[in-house]
Amino acid sequence: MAQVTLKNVVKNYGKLEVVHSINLHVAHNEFVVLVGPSGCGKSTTLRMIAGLESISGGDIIIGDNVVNNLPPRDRNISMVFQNYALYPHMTVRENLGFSLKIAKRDQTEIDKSVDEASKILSLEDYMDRKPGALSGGQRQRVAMGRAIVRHPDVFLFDEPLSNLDAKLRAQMRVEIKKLHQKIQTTIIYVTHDQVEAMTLADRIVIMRDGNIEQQGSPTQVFENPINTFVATFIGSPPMNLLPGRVGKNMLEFSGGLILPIPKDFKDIVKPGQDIILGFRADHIMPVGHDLTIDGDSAMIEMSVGVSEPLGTETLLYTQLAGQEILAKMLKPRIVKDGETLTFNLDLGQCNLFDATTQRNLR
Amino acid sequence: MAGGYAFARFRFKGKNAIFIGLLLTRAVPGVALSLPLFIVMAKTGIIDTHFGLILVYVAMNVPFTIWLIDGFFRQIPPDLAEAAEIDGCTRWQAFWKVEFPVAKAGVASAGIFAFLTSWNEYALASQLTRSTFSKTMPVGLRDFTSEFTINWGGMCALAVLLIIPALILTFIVQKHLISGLTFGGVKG
Repeated sequence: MAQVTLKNVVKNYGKLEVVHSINLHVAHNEFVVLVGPSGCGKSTTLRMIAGLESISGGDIIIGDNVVNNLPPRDRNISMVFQNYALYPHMTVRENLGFSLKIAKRDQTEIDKSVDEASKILSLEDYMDRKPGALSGGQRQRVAMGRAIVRHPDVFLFDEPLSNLDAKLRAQMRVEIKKLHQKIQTTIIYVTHDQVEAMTLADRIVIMRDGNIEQQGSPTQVFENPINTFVATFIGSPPMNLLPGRVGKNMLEFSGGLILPIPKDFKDIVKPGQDIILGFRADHIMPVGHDLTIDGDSAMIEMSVGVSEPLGTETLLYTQLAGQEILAKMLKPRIVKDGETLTFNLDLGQCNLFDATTQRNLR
Repeated sequence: MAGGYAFARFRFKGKNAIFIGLLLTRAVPGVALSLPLFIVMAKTGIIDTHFGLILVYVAMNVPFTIWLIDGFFRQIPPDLAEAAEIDGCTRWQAFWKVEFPVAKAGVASAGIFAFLTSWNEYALASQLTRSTFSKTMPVGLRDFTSEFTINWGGMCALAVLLIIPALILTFIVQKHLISGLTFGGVKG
């Protein structure tokens, strides 16, 4: 069993505190993704778990052991680096077997483990090449292979896909997911790409400025973001946000726009309160575009500024209450720029945030 | 080598000052040092010995070699050593099994550089070594000149002999000098 627990972990560089007392528990076999904008402390957190950075306070527990002061080699973890960090002077086979050789394992055992890993990652054809003769995707696979031959308790991934082009990235994403199904190990994965986070994670941990903002399953953080930061960071396109004010049984926005208060929030908001209404492009569509609404809805007329046809759907950029917002069209047809359409807004899917704290009022 | 590695990898107090200090020692012309060196060595009794000259050459070459090797280790991404440590190496093993082999080309060229400067050095050697047993070959070359004649044949013969060890060394380390060894391990 290898769960990972971080208790009040702090990291200082001199006087600068970059990670502020974070708590995180990763269960056995769980795939947890740490996601956040660059500089949010996610990589530092990962490196502290790996033992490459010392911790300034708190405890890190892997399995049942407190590993605060253990060097990386005694933590039974393996890590895949952003730039792969393959040993350039060794062949793929030597790269894969390096950790076992260091551990002074039997040559037959090393060969067996290396062959097994190469089969899982279909690297058999490149075993005698050096890393310099491999493509980006192949190097990435070697880096993962080097991580799995040791059968570690925990896998750490530090933005492993950010050096690959878009197509390869999508492909490797699936491979990482398959790998997790095959080898069933605890994985902690760091990325700044929310698509990777959404697609791979059992649980997403969103970080900002050295704090954990929210954690939960991809659907939870997508549907119920705890604040406006999470709302705009997770999901593509980001959530539309409209600042407004609570009036008598309704929400007032600039430009005279008035919307009913979503049912879930009726008892929470007070008249006169400044709020931000948040809704995703998937919940505002032109009438007649298969938006199934069970509950309240609102009809709004807007003229389309720019439309982006994506094949199965079309994104519509429009103006509402002085803000640019994004709407979707599920049965695409050609939309003329400036064309005025009537939109249906699903109020049941809306979120309300407090304008000052930016927190979800739910 | 250890010095170059330390400068490239570790952060310590006064690092820049020490580094600049080391390089400044290179700014002093070697010949200007010959008289003070001569006096010190005469007093300590190591004048006209192999040991004395070796000491001088080491002292003169170390700063520049450190500077060269520092540059080579800087080019190696720190991720490599970190990956090795996660793979079970100690700090020491990570250096010997991963970083050193990758930086081999650089270390080899720094070695050749240090060897050639010492091997060919004339000015200091002619001051500090005199006897047949201790003098270096460049100094020996001069023995073929006498007051009125120069033994060109003998001098040329010795010059050829002088080249041989340098040639051999260059052939030996040549394969390590292939550039581009570090490419490919990480995305550049």
